[in-house]
Amino acid sequence: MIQRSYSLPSCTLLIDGISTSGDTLSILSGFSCRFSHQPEAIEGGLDLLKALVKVVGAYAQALKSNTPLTIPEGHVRLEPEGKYLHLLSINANEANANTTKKIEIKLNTVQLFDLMESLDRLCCDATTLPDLRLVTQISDYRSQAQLNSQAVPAIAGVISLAIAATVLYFVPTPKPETKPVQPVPTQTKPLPKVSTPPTPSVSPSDSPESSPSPNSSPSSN
Amino acid sequence: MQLNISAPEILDLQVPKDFVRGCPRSVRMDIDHLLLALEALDLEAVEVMLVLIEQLGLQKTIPSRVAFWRLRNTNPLRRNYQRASLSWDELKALVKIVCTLTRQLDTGLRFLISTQQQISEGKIEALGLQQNQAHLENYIDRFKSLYIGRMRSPSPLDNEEIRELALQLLTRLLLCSGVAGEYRLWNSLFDGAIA
Repeated sequence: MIQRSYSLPSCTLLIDGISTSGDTLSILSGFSCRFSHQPEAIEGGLDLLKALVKVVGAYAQALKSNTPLTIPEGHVRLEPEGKYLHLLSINANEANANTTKKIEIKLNTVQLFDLMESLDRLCCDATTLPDLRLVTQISDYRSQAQLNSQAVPAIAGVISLAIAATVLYFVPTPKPETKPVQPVPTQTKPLPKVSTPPTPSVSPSDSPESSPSPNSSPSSN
Repeated sequence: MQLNISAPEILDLQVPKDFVRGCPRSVRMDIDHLLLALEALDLEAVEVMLVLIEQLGLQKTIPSRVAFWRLRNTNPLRRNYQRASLSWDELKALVKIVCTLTRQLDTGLRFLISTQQQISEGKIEALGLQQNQAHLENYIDRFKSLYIGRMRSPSPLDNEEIRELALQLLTRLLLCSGVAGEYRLWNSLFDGAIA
């Protein structure tokens, strides 16, 4: 039976396990993670530890890029709360018999760093659980978050277009014929009036014959 | 036993495959801002960095003070920007310097970040920690004057944005002070960068 401890100012991680060869702790029997500001400890088995490593690693990486993300993984969830607080919640129903209820711990940035650092030290420690790996990839979580944030405006756009289309479908199409008919006679009427005065002045004798012909042609149009 | 822990060799800093055209602009800006924040935290940071170059065996990449200055001037926002880029080895060297120096300044970082949080919660007056607030303001003022002095004018950021940047850099520095700090910093530099 071996116990390893990784202690930082605000967080202590204890790893209990069995060694199969030499100094290496290769089988985990249980772990506990205790914060100095919180009486409750996080306790569980390998599944919970792996989820914790994944969540905290990815969250820290996102925080570092100034784009805080909510990282859910199994029963562990870490989300930003305000600008300086981070809410770690663990649903430990099935994780182990020791813990049966939901644990919620508020961490500030320094405490989150201590948690990350204790888990990082565990991951980098070749003599304790060598299979555990650091998690720095956040593209999976980010693509999920982006998909959600991008899908909402896209769907809203399509729906608004559909609503607008159905509403406009009931609006009667305007008839184009009524408008051009009215202006044509009003414009054509002044023309013969202007043209008629010069005709009698030029040739008074031809006026009875020539005057009806211009008057008749615009009226027919 | 904890003292023996060091990042295993698997955590080699690997150059992302997509970045064939060399070090992106945003990465050069980021790493220079981090160095600038370290300078604002510790007045002698530059001298310490030059000593660290020798201690970490990086003389091949950064042979002199001027070479170091040239590397920092690859930040496109710098007044003396010469359109030069960083090679991957040079970037790795700068990442190592940032992380090693940050580990030394760990206590101060924790202190400033806690103070920042206390200010946001309005606890400074109640706890009588005005002195701590003055330390944080000092850091911000030093960062501001360094930023305005080194970057092109007119300044790319206004006063409020510089302040915001200074505070963000504190958190970033803290998160790369850990045992796997170099690896985490390396990954975060390329997060969101455009090839």
